[in-house]
Amino acid sequence: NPHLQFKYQHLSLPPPSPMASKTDKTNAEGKKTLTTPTTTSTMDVTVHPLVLISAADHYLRVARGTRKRVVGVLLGTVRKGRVDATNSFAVPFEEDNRNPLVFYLDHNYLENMLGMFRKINAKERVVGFYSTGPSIRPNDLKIYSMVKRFVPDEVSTPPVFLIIDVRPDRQSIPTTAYRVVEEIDTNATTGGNEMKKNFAHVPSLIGAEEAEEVGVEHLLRDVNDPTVSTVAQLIKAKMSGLGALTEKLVEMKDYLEDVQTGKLKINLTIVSN
Amino acid sequence: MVLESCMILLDNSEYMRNGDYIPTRLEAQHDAANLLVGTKTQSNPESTVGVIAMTGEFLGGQDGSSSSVGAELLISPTDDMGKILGALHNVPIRGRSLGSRSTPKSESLGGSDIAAAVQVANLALKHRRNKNGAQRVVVFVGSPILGDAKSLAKCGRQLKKNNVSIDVIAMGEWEENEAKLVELVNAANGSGDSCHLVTIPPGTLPSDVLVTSPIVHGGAAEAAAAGAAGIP
Repeated sequence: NPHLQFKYQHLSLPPPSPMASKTDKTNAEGKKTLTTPTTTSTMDVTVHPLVLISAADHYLRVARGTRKRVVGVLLGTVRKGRVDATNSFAVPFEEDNRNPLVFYLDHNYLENMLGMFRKINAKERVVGFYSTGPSIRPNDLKIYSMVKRFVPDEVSTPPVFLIIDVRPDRQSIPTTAYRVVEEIDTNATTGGNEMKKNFAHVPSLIGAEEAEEVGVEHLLRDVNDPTVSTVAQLIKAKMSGLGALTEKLVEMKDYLEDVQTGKLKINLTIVSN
Repeated sequence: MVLESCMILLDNSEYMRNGDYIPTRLEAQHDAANLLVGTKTQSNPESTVGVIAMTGEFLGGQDGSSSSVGAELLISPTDDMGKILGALHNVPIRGRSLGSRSTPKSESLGGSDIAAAVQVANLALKHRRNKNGAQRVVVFVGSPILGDAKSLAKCGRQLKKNNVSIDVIAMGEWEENEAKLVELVNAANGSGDSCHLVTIPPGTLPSDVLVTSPIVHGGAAEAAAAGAAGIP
């Protein structure tokens, strides 16, 4: 197993789909999830540091200071449902904030770029796409279907959607990963059941191979001041960890309150855990 | 001729099955688009052409409010004739009546949302490789336009602001669309005259009409249009 993992690890909660509906704006009704039996569903996503740096650089080059987001493609490998995103590249993307139907993603550019990357490393293929969010937008399903065209047919795991939050003041891990699930939506206004696509949460990890870790350590030496005593560092790390834990607990409390007041339908998988 | 980047907007809604042009509106549109692409790429070796289909894929009832389907970018601006012609030929007719239970009966045949498609074309032109040339959008309209004259006028003004000229080729459904298209072209023209509106009478070949129109000759050849009237 060539992958070593940092001390930072995403606190994994069971994948909650009503939580995903809170963060994404396209669906708000209660639904039952149903998993497609023929494909291997994504279990988790490991993001390598190169992807994070590329995404941050992309955002700084294109949309620094604006509220626009940038979109790019994730390359890597998939092994038994575990996605490994080792590389990425940016694509020209633009959307209109007010009208979600208007967006432009240059897929000729994507094809050409993919061909060039293929020549460098044939084993890396398209495993998904990223956006700097910070949240899911209505266009994302359309972008998903566009990227899906570039995933080769014999692969059973569909592309994964990663949101990389490039804002500088985040406490926890900057990545959130989603996969697309088809759900039966019992929406009364559309008269009957429809299959709708929605995003479901997938745990994401930050991992690196040894060579990459050495590179990151070099970079960290400029960021972290080694003259600060180690006790202070430990306390800082503990505090940020506790901060992340409080965030998750508050989220759970809010969810339970909402279920109790009837705002959200109860999901047995979450409550029984 | 002048170096320009052009986006061709094709109408591929259900109305294009109509046979009032020979053989169908869709084929006639292909023919005309072929002609346009040919003249534009030959007139200047650096000119690029892209293609957008105004009725894109319908992703199955997002929130029930499907007022329009959204334009689909087929080819971004390029000078590769082979790719462009290939994409033009493979444009499918997409109507919203297929597989969607959420649209009301009256909209099941689909119109074309020109405003959204033109905005996508705007974005595509913004990202073109060669920023030197002029920007142009050519729209084929063969179905009732969704949206009222005011929104189209707003769209035209936005085009003028971004310095994009628009040419509209109207095939069929003239009575419904006339006012809106005239509004659009006038708003986009402002005080200049780089935008044109050409109507193709049913039964004629669009390419014949286009060859003599200012769309193919470009705005600069108004004087030559008198001489070109003799060209078949």
